[in-house]
Amino acid sequence: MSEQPSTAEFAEEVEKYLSAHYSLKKKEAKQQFVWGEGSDEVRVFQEPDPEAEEDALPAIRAWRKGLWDAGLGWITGPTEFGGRGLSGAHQRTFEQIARRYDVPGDSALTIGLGMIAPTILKHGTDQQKNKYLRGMYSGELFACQLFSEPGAGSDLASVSTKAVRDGDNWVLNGQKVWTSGAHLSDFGEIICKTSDAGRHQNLTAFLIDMHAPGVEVRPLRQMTGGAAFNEVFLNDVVVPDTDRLAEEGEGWKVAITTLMNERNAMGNSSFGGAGILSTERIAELVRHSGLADDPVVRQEFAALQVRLRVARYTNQVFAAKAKAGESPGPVASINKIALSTNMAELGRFVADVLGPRIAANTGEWGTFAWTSVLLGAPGYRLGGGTDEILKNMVAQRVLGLPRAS
Amino acid sequence: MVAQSALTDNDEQRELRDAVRKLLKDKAPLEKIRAGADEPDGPRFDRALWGNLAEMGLLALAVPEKYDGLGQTMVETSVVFEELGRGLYFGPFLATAGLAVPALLGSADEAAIADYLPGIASGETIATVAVTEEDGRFDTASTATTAEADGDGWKLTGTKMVVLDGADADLLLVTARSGEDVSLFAVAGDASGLTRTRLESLDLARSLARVELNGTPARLVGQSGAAPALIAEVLDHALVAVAAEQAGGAQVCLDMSVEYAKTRKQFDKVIGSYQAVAHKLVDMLQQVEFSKASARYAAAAIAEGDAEAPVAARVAAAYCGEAFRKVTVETVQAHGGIGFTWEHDTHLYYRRAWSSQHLFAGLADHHAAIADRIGL
Repeated sequence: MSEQPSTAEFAEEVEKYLSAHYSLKKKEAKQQFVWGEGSDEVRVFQEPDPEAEEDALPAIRAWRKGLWDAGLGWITGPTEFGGRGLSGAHQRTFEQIARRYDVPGDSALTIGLGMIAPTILKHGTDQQKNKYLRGMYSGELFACQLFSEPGAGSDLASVSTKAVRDGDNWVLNGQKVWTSGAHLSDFGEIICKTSDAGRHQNLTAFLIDMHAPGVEVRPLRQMTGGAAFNEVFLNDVVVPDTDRLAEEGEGWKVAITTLMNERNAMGNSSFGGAGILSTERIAELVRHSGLADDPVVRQEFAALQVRLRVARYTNQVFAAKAKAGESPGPVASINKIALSTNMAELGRFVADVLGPRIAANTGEWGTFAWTSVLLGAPGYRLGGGTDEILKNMVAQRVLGLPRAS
Repeated sequence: MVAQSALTDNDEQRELRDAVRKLLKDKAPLEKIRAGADEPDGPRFDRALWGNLAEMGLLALAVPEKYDGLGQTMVETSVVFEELGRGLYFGPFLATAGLAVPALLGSADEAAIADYLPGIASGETIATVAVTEEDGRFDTASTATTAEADGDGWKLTGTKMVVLDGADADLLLVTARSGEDVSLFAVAGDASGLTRTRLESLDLARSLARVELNGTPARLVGQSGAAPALIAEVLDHALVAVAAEQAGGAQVCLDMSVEYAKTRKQFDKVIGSYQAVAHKLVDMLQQVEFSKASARYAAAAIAEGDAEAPVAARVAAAYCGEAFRKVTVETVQAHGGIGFTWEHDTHLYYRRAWSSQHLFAGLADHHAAIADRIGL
C-alpha cells in the first residue's frame, strides 16, 4: 500500500482534478443579494418540478463517476471496498476546495451517502459493501430510506410491512410513507416485520430493488402544495436473502444506525443553499416594507438574529470540538430542535413584517414567496424524529434520565 | 472566520479551568455566601481568596507582559469567568479584570497604564469602572458628573449608581463631563470628598455601591472626550465576561436539576421519568450548550479581532442572559418546594441570573445594538 498523502499534497490533487473538470464559482453572483433581482423563491424543502429534477440527474451521476475514477469518490472509505482510506481531515480538505467550484455536489445524495452508506458499512456483508457502496459513491446507485408507515411514525418499531421467507428469497407486502427521493432511487433500505417475537426483536432490514416488480411509487403532496416525498406500495415484492442487511431480527439495530446518521446530517445542515437564512435578505425585506426605523420591528429582527447566530456559533464550536477529538455530545439532536424552532420563528417574523402581503399574492417581488417558510416549518418539527421524540432521546441518552413513563 | 483552534480549550486552557474550579470548590463553598448575607453589615468578599486568585495569575491574565502581566487573550479570560460563574465567585474580579483592565488598555494612556496595571496584575489594586448614573445606563450619553480643571489635575463632582465593587475598589475609573467632552478619570479609593455606600444587592455574591464625588481629586486617563467610544468598548468586553459567567452558572443549575430529577420520587417514580419534567430539562440543556458555545465564540471573536466580534458580543450577551434567567427559573421549579427555601442553592443562582442580566445593559439594549451593528 502506498504512503498516505499529506493534506497539503491531497489539496493539490483535489485542486488539480476539480480545476480540470469544473469552473470556479462566480463570486459576486453568489454572495450579493439584490432586492427584486432574479427568482424570489424561498426554498424550504427540495420540491423541484419532476422534469427539472430528472434533467439534473445525469450531471450528478457524472460528477460522482468522475470523482470515483479519480480516486476522490470515497475519501474516507476502506480501501478493500474501493475507498481511499484517508482521514476526516482529507475529507474536509476536499469539501473546502469543492465549495469554490461550480459542481453539482452531493446535496441530492444526502440520504444515500449520509445515512444509508454508513449503515451498510456498519452492518452489511462484504458482498453488499462491494455492490452497493461502490455503486453509491460512483453515482450509479441512488438510494432511499423506507422506514415510516401510516401506522408507524414516532413509534417506528411498530411497522407492519411484512417480509415472509420463501426459500432463498423474502416476499414483502405493505406500505411506506414520507420516502424522499423514492421515485429517483435504484434501491432502498427498508425495515420490515419478520416475526411475532417481542418488540425490537421482530424486525429485519433489507436492501430492496426499487425497480423490482410490485414496487409502486406515488408522489405525496404535503401541506406546502409541493411534493417532496412519496408513498411506496409493496405488493409481493421479491428480495433475495443476500440483500438482507444484518441478521434476521436485527432490523431495529440497523434502523437506529441510520437514524443517528440522519440526525447528524439534519442537525449539521444550515439549510444548505436555500438562502432563506441570509441576514441580508431578511434585512432587505424589513427595509422594503418601510419598517427599518420601527423600534419594535428592530427588536424582533435582532431577537431572530440572536437565535440564528447562536445556532451558527454553536455549530462552529462543536465542529471545532469534533476536530479536536472531543465527543460532539448532544449537539446533533438539540441543534435539530433549534432548527425547527428557528424556522417557526423566522416564519412568524416575516409574516409580521409582510402583514396582508402574506395573506394574498399581490404580485410584489419577494413577498408572498415567504409563505413557504410558514407552511414548511411544521414539517421540520416532525421530520427526522419529532421534537418530542428527540427530547425523550436526549433525556435518556445525554442526561441519563429513566425511560419516560 | 474565527479560527477553530480558538473555539475549544487547548491543554493550558483546560488546566486553567480545572485549577480555578478546584480553588473555588476548596475555598469558596456556597454556604459562605448564605452566611455572609446574614451578617449585620451585609456580605464581604474573602480577601484571602482574592490573594489566591492573584497567586494563580488570574489578575495578570489579560495584562500585557510589559506591565507584568501574562498577555493572554479574551479567550483565557472567558475560561476563568465561566468557572467563576459556576462557583458563584464573590469578589471584585469582574470589576477589576472585566471592567478596569479593558478600560485602562483601551485608553491607550501609557503613563496611566504603567502606573496602574502592574498593581492590578499583582492583585494589590482592586479596581472598578464607575459609569452608571440616574438613567441607569452604562454609557456616557447623559453623564452629569462634572470634571473641573484643578491645577495639573481635576476635581469631580457627581453621583454614580450601582458601581460594581465600588465600596472596595482602591482605584475607581470614573466618567465625567467637562463641557461637551466626557472623559475617563482615575480616582483613588481614599481620595478626599469621596463617599461610598454599600447597597443592598439582589445577588448575594456581588457587592454594589453608590459613589458620591464632591470636588474629589482625579487624574485624566486617556484623551479628553474619549470616554464615549472607550466605554462602549469596555461594555462589550464586560458583557462577554458576564456571558461566560452566566453560561457557567447555568451549567451548574442544569446539573443540580438533573441530579434531583433522578432521585426525587413522587407517585412512586423519580420525577425525571415524567416527560413534563424531562422535556424541561432538555430545554435547559439546549440553553446551557448554546450559552457556553456563544460565550466562547464571542470571546474568540474579540481575541482575534474578527469582524463578527461586535455583533457576537451582543448576541452572546442577549442569549446567555436570557438563557441563564430561564434556566434558574426552571431550576427552582424542578426542585419543587425545597428549591424555594433559603437553605437551598437555587436562589443564589436565581438572584445572580436576574441581577447579571441587568447589571450593565438589558435585552432591549442588546437587541438595539445588534440591529444597528448588522446595519438594519
